Amino acid sequence: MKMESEVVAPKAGKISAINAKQGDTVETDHVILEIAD
Amino acid sequence: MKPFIANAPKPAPSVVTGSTAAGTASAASAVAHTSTNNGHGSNTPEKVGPYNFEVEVNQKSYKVAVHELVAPGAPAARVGSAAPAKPSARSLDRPGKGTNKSGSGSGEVKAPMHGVVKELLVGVGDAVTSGQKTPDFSKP
Repeated sequence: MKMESEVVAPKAGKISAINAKQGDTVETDHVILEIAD
Repeated sequence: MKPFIANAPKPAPSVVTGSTAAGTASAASAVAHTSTNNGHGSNTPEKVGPYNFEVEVNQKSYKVAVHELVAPGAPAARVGSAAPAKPSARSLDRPGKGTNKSGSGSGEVKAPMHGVVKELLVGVGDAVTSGQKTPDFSKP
């Protein structure tokens, strides 16, 4: 079964880094985005 | 297989907690009705209560009264006190389907599971609000 999940921002801020691109396979707890204040 | 023995002695529960509003309210008031079996040098446990509970089993409601046996001089456990119950670590309330709030305020958006980043919905420098959908994630 294919599962889809929406990942949401834990806080407000500006995206400071993106550590994955569309189509990338990532492991659990891989930091996809970093949000700066 | 363990044989079933009718009328086998069972250990009495030490603490019975109530969860219904009716049970909690009546139990709180029942605490005030502690028996006064003291001062006679007797070691017989004091009977505290009754604590009234409403128990639901298979959608059928039962009213039960529970008495606590307390050693003379010992404080009662205050079953069903008016203090609100502490929520359990594993709450049954779950977030919305497929929604994963990662990091809990840390500023990192982590992958909730091994999977593929289906779509990145934001770019570097974009302003986001708390709870905003960022990447779309799917499990292969």
